[in-house]
Amino acid sequence: MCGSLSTLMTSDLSPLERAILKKLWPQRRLKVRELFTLLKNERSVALTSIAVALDRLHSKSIVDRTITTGRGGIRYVYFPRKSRAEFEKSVVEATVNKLITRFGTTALSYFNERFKK
Amino acid sequence: MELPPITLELLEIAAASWALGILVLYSWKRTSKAWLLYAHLTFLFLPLFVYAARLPCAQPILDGLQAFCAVTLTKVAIYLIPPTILIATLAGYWLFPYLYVRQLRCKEQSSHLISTYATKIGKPLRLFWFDNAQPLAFSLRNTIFMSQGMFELLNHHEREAVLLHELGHIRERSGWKKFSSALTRLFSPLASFSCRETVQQEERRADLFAAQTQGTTKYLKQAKEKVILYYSSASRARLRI
Repeated sequence: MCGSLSTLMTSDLSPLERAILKKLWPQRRLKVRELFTLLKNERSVALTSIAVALDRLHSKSIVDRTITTGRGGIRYVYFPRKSRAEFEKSVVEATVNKLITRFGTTALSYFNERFKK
Repeated sequence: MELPPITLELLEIAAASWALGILVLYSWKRTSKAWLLYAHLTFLFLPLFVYAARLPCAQPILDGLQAFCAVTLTKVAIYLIPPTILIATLAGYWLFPYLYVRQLRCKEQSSHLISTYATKIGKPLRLFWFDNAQPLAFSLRNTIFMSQGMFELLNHHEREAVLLHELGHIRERSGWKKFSSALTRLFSPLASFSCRETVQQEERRADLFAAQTQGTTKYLKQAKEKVILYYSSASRARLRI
């Protein structure tokens, strides 16, 4: 199930966006530079790419952001709109609904047989 | 209705006027003085005004209602062109900063650099921040707008370089020149071919001001590289989906 969910997530999210979400879910609220610090040890990535990916996640309403003012100046703080479980559930729901819309009774028959096993 | 003939005299006025129009456009290209653009528009429309002034009002649309003569209406429409340009220029140039502040929901920021420079030139300068993840910075009249994206990507020295670049634009009155250039391109087909270099010239002057003030081109160069990298990453990300 995890493998298929990963594939489903692949179609809508880039590898960097997935990596960012994996960091956000346990950490909850992070700034752009904090994410950069966490990710640069795992992959070759630029601060600008992370900023772009976060903005895209924000435009897709997967993450939200607030503005904080501190010693370093004004900064965005990003956090996920849903928990990992809720997000995965929404991905599954959207995908299943798409399959049913597209394939109708064929999809329903498959699900019926699959869950009988 | 018989229109007055286009006489040789009128053609001579048109040729001379348009030649002067091209000359002032050439002068503007060399000197970047915004008033030359408005002089170009004046020379461009002058033959039209001379012709309109000679139009007789001999054919009223409705008997006895001279005021509704088609020719009178045409003359009024032509005479309204310069005040329309003037009002559009003044209203647009003076109102744009206020409109941007409202549209972008900006918040005014304090900056030591801005207040120091404002004291030096004896003019009030303002810095506004707006909520946008893209790195954007621009200036209008005596106001600089900078997006949150700039704060996210650039360090203190790089942001200072960008502010100095925008101050360079304010110093050179680039906003006024760009606005005038856009307005002239709208009305003059001749200007369409010669106004493009304005933007590049103004950018070079602003870069020079920033580099001279900071004593190095390093920070401005770094800032530009980061901004370019941001937008190329954004383009690649859009193409993936």
